[in-house]
Amino acid sequence: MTATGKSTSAKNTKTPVLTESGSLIKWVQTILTLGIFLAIFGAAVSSRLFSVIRFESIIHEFDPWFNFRATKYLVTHSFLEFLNWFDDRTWYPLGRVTGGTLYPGLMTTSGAVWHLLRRIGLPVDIRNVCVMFAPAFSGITALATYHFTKEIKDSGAGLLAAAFMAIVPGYISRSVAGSYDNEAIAITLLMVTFMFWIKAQKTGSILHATLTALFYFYMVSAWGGYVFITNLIPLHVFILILMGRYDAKLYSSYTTWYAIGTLASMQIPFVGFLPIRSNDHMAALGVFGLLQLVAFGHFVKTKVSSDKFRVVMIVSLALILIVGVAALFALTYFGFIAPWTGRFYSLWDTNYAKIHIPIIASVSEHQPVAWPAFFFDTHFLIWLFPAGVFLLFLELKNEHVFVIVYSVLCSYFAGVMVRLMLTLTPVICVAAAVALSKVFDVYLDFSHTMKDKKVNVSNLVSRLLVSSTFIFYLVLFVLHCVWVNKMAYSSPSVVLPSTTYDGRTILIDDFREAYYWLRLNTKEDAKIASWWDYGYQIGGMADRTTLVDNNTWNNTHIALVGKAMASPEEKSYEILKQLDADYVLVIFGGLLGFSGDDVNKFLWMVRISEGIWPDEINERDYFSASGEYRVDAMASQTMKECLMYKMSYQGYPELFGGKGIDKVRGQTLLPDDVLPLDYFEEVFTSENWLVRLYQLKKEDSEGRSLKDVGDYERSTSKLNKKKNFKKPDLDLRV
Amino acid sequence: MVQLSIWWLTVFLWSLKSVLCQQFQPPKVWENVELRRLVDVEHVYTIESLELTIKNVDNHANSEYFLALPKITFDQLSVFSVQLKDKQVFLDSGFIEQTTLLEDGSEVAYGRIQFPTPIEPNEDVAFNVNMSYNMGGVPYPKRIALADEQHLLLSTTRYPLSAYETKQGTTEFFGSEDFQEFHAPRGYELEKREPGLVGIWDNIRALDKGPELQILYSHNLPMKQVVNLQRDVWVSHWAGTIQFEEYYELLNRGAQLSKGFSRLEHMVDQQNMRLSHYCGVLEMNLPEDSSEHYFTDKVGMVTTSRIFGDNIYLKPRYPIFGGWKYNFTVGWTNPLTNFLRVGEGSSDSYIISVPLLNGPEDTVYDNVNLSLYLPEGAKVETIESATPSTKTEVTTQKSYLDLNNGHVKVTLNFKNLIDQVGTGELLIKYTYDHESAYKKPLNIAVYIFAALMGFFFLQSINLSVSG
Repeated sequence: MTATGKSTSAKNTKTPVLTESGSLIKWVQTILTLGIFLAIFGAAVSSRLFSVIRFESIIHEFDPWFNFRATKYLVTHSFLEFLNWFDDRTWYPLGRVTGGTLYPGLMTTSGAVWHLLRRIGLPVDIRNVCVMFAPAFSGITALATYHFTKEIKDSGAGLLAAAFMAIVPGYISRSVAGSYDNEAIAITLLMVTFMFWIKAQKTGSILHATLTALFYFYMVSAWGGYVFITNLIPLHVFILILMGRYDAKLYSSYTTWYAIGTLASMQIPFVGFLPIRSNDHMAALGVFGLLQLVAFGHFVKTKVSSDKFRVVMIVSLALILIVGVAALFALTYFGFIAPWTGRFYSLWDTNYAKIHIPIIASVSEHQPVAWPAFFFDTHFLIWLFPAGVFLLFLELKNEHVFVIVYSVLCSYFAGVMVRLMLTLTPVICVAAAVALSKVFDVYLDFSHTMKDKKVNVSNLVSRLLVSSTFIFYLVLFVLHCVWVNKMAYSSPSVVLPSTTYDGRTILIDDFREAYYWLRLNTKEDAKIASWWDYGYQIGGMADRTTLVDNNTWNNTHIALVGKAMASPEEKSYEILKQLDADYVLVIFGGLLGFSGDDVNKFLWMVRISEGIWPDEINERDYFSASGEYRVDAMASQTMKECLMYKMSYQGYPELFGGKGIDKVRGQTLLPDDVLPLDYFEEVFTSENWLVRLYQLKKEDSEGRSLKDVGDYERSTSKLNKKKNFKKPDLDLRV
Repeated sequence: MVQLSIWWLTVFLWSLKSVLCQQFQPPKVWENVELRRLVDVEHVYTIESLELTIKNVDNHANSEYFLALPKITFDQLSVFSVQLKDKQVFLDSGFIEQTTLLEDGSEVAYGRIQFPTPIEPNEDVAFNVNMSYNMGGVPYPKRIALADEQHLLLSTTRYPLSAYETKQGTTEFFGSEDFQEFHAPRGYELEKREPGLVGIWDNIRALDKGPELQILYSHNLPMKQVVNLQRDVWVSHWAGTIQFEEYYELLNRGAQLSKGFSRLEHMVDQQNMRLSHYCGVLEMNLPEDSSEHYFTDKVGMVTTSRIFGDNIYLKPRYPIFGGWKYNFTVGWTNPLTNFLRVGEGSSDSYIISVPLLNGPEDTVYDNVNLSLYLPEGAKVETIESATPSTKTEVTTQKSYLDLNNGHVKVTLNFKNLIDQVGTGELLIKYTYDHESAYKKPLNIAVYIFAALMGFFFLQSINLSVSG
């Protein structure tokens, strides 16, 4: 469907011939355009439905579970209650001012959609609204990309860009059905805002500038990445000024956008006074000021001679630069302006986070991108992209400068952080579409080959060859996109697909098994201690109070949980008792070979808690004598004694009759390697041992320490303990 | 003095009143020649049948017999029927509101049985009473290890309870492989006889329970108790389908685990391939020709279900041990023709009959809410249920594209059902004419048309800013 959509669009780029049949051609064009849009919309939505079809209508990964939970809160409470939401079920015992620390754009939009659908007689479940949210908005993104590219080149390039945008894996990675994250709506808003900005700076229209500001406001309400717009638009204007392209249109559009946009963005509780206090926003303010000066300079220029004006300009520019920079430093020094955040520093220095903020470095999506990922995510667009940028350089209109600035900045950022690949993808699509449509403009135009009723063979062959090559690439691109979307980006990661020995596909559903057990079989106010990765899922699926979650706003609290996991159990018990925790949840992938488990994440727990308590926790202690990370007999004593190790491997060697093979780390454990657990009791382990739950034991009624109780019980039962366990059947599913 | 006497009089009258209300005494007009009480403890609920031979000892003919039941049993009753012995004739029976307070503080309630013809003095009549109630043994010990066998302790009356004197009374228990009496008082023991325990006594006084009887028996099966069942049935004339959706709140009220659940022990135990006290699979029998099955719970789809013929086997996310809960939703679709027929007289009149339950076997239901959704515009005429409901109401409920009043919703509430009454049916007669059938698509068309026209007019507003 998409392939036809694109090739049609390419043929459709001929300028209409203005004859009597002009109106007919126009009609045909309109119908074709409409058809292409419908096809693009269909392709955008349907290529994101793999996860629903292969699995089910389910919220994916980690963050979406929080957004989903917040949305449910919104639709069951009033909007004001939502903004004032204090969540006492996370970050126990601190709680979280959730209403004031989230971007409400996503939740309010889906809440509005839900209410609207109910109004028109479609009482859809809120979960389905949330699951289908991203695919629906990706269609709108394609539309916005079309209008954006249309402003850059023409509608032919626009249609190509829209088609690329609809199915490009780089964007789908964050917008499949169920991926209910801020990015789902943010990319749409990003493109709409840019589209209106291009229109505004082209026409100088206050209406368009106001629309830019309103969508900017919407963007601010939806994603922390709005700072990208806040800096990109001023940079665009700044470069245009440097190029000497200042005019009244630029002035009216930028000042309108800045004034309305900034005021509006301050209405979001989480943003508040940041736009006038944080360094991230200072560029916009600076350019706003500069623009006033430039406007004044222009006014002066019309009044005085050019020689005098040059002197005036040089002096004043130097003065302004000095005063401006000095003021910035002074304000930052005195604390009026917040310094840059850690995430910002890590954008420039990739090692910054590793050294200073382990918690940022521990997140996989903050890692630098691997080069093959560019090809994987954008296929042949990645080599059309520089060509497109080059073509724009040749023309270099104001709006082309915008695309160039955007592509240069984002290429750098995407190289630093995987997740910023997402913001790069739209501009890749746009630039590639410009390049490709230029190729098609030339090589799909067969009007010259038929001149004078004589076929110019060499001309025809070269045209056919070039255009068919590119059409072949387009087909390849579609195949690649579908393949990537199906294989890589459509797994909910809550459910793991697997195959049995006889080839049947089965779903490993251990996460939900354990979460649902927690939900139904523990007290409603039970507190669950787990590593922060699972906080949102526990809140969303198990509906239980967590100590830490993916919001990671309090590093010390996370470090405390990390310390509990990394300490011997007497100490952990004390820490967890102080935190009032009832259960401890660990993820253990040894049986399944699930590499994202807690034992593999364990070193981050150690590092993060070492950052706070360097005297008590030392990363080196967890490595074996030869400096390896081991879990078998060679593991260090500290490792064997720590809570995480004991909980992960409790009873595991016995499962294999005494020789437990950890499939993730490829090491073999013996029953004697796993020390007994005295302060905690296993209460649940999921079918494939992926999730293990332990309860804190009650203190002994006779006042003994729980270790003494355990020792006593072991000494009495040692005599009649059976040593040889039968090996259970490991084909686990029906 | 006068005041004091008035006060005393009031107290006297008050106590008299309560005695009169509470202490219902059936007239002593009958005598039980033989009363056999057979208790089946095979299921999570108790099935009890009483085989009575009674004699009229009054001097004129009587036709009303009062059947005594402990109040606690009476409150959990799910099935109650009376049948003449050797004849397939059901007797007219009901319950009375009055109760009797016994010396030990327990209450006795009464069922009233009406014979079709009065029984002459000194004449015998034999009949059977069948009843089931949502009650049974409780786990003993309360906490057991994963591999242990589960035992239940049933406390009940030793003598068969009756409001009349009994010449020969028998109490008999069966339905388990292993029975034993718990703390048996000397001289009153029940004896072990195939298939279970039997006790025979002569000349039992009216309302005499005898020394308390406690029976310990093995019952190594999950004790499935559905605390709440929400059963929704959607009737669609346009699609010709009937859709069922059931939401269960299931609890295993068996013995709890003595320590935390160990997956290792469970995997070792599973190798023995024997029945145990946890619930690993739920088997449900669905109506014929069912399709589009689904099995979900509050966190999404559960993929471990299999369909064999008309049976669906649901494997819950985790094995349900004693004291554990599991909530789930199961749904399926059937062709409407299997359930609906056109009523006599007009072609707009329909009769629909749906089974009350389709749940797993050996299950009790504390509360059942059965809702039947008829198409928008249907008019309900009569509602008949095989089992009496505690509440019946007709309301409306808006669903997809219900732009007027919404689907007609018939809701029936039941208490203390057991799986065996599930085959009983709910019959609803209603009319649904062609006018209402076509009203809905027309309505939708009008709304879509209005929306498109609105869009068209909005489009024609010129918002262009370039001069």
